[in-house]
Amino acid sequence: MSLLPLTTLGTTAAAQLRRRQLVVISTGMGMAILLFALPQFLSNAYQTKIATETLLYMGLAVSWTLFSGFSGYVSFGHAAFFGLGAYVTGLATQRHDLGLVAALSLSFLLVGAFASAVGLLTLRLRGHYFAIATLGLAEAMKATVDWGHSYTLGTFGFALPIDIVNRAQETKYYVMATFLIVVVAVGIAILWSSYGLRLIAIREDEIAAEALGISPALTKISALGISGAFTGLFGGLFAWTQGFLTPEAVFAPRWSLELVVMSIVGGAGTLVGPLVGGLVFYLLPEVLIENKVILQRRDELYLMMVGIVLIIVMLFAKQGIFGTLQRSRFWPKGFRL
Amino acid sequence: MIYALMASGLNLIFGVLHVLNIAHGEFMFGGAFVSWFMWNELGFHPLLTVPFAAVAMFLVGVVLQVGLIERVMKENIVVSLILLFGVSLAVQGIGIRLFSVNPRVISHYEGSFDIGGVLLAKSRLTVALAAIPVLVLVHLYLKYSKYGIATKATAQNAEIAEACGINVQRVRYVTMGLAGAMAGVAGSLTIIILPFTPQSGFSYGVIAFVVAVVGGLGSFYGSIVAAVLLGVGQNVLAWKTDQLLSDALIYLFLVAALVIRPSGLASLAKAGTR
Repeated sequence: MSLLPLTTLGTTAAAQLRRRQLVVISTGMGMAILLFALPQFLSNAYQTKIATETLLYMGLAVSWTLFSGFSGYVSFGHAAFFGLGAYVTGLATQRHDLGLVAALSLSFLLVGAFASAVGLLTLRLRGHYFAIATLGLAEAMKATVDWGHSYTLGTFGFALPIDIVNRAQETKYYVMATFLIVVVAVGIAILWSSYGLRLIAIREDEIAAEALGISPALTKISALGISGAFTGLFGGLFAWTQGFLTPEAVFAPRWSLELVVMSIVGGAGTLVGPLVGGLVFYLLPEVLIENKVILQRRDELYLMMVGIVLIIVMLFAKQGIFGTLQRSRFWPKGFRL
Repeated sequence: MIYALMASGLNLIFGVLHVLNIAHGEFMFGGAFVSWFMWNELGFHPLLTVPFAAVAMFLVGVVLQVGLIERVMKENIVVSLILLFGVSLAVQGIGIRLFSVNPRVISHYEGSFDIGGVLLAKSRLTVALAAIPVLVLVHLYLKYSKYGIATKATAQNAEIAEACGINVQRVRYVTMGLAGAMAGVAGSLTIIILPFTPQSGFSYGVIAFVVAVVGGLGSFYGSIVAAVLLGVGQNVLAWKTDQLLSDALIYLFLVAALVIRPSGLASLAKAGTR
């Protein structure tokens, strides 16, 4: 994948773009180093666990953005990919005695293939019909897992083998951080490549994009494949960090919904947005719990607060938190992240 | 029948407003708890509470439309969807604050009728029979009343309807109110059969979505047919095969139906008559 086709820009514009890309890369690397240093500043395993889960949420939201944010095709079915990834890793380790690395790779590949197949079938639907088609997907997967209980171990779920799960919380944190960095890097690579431009062209105007010689079908299906593969991978990581999974938990519609909400409230169609969204939606409630403002996630005060935040953001900052910043005059014009 | 009430209301909203009302289940919760409150605290007969639930949810629907949804009408469908998701979460939170998470039920009808060897619970039969006149009323409203016709015109083409002198904005208010009232009725009928918590509304909302989609988004009659088909189909399959298989099959059937015919049963009927 090459960087933006620089020949089409004037030399000063090209140099400016290069400079900005360098700033982004170096900032990103700085943040990555901070991410790896973070456990040193956390006082106990519980805080590390919360940090790990925040990274998981961010990673999932970024994975979702790789397809839905860039192409504009909103998917409400990512819980299906997430749950499938969790189940592949779970069953591979539990039933087939595979190691963690093999199981996670299997999750990545299988779910990627599955997502591409789903794309092949459903991406003929345009606009919100696609969004609606994906709504039933996670439920269908959950029902299938329940039904195939002789293989999938049924409704009550199962625990992963203890010798695979039993790792220090910090190890889990570092693994999660690594994969978050990987998925963000992939996102940046896509955004700055001609492939990303094709995706965004489809988002802006699919018919015009097709007229320019872009194949919308191929672009969309491959993007859904990449997005699904990473979602599956994070699903596998979820299974591993939790050590236990049930169909009810991993195929819950809330996974699909929360990914959409995090990404869009953070900033629709941007890469930084999902990261901001993950902080707001996962870390903030945990901080509030620590300070005894609310008792637990999803208690009534939490629901009310999240609900009201969503309403306010959608009424006054429709582009989301980062999206609004990016459109303001403080941000270099025409430079998207 | 409950599915039919929910899904057809949802479809009215989509048809006229082009908004996917993800907070539809919360209207249902509202209706259910208006009924429960009147039955439990004020001693009303359960069926008598239904009109009150309908009126209350009609008002809530109008207020929601005027206050929030109208402001994002011109935006992408996702904006209103997330806005409504926020409403849904906030209502759940307030609901738990007011009523706690304990399930409530109106245990007015007990026992069952024995019709030719088939046992029918009294409560279920009453509810099914009560839902039908409501659907018929909505049908008559859409077909014969001035506002009903204006509603259909707006759904078909809002700009031309406006050019013909229809106050499209007011039609949107009324539609949202009407759909809210239908969900409210659905809720106050459901709580007669099954226990309800402030968070049950959401899962009913999801089912209603599915039904609405199979019936054809924006189609009032398609969703009624789909609701009956799905309700009967799910029970027959569960009875013939095992429960788990039937659940899996229903959802796979749904996804398949969407892929083959995304616009639902209604378009199938249209294609047939052409």
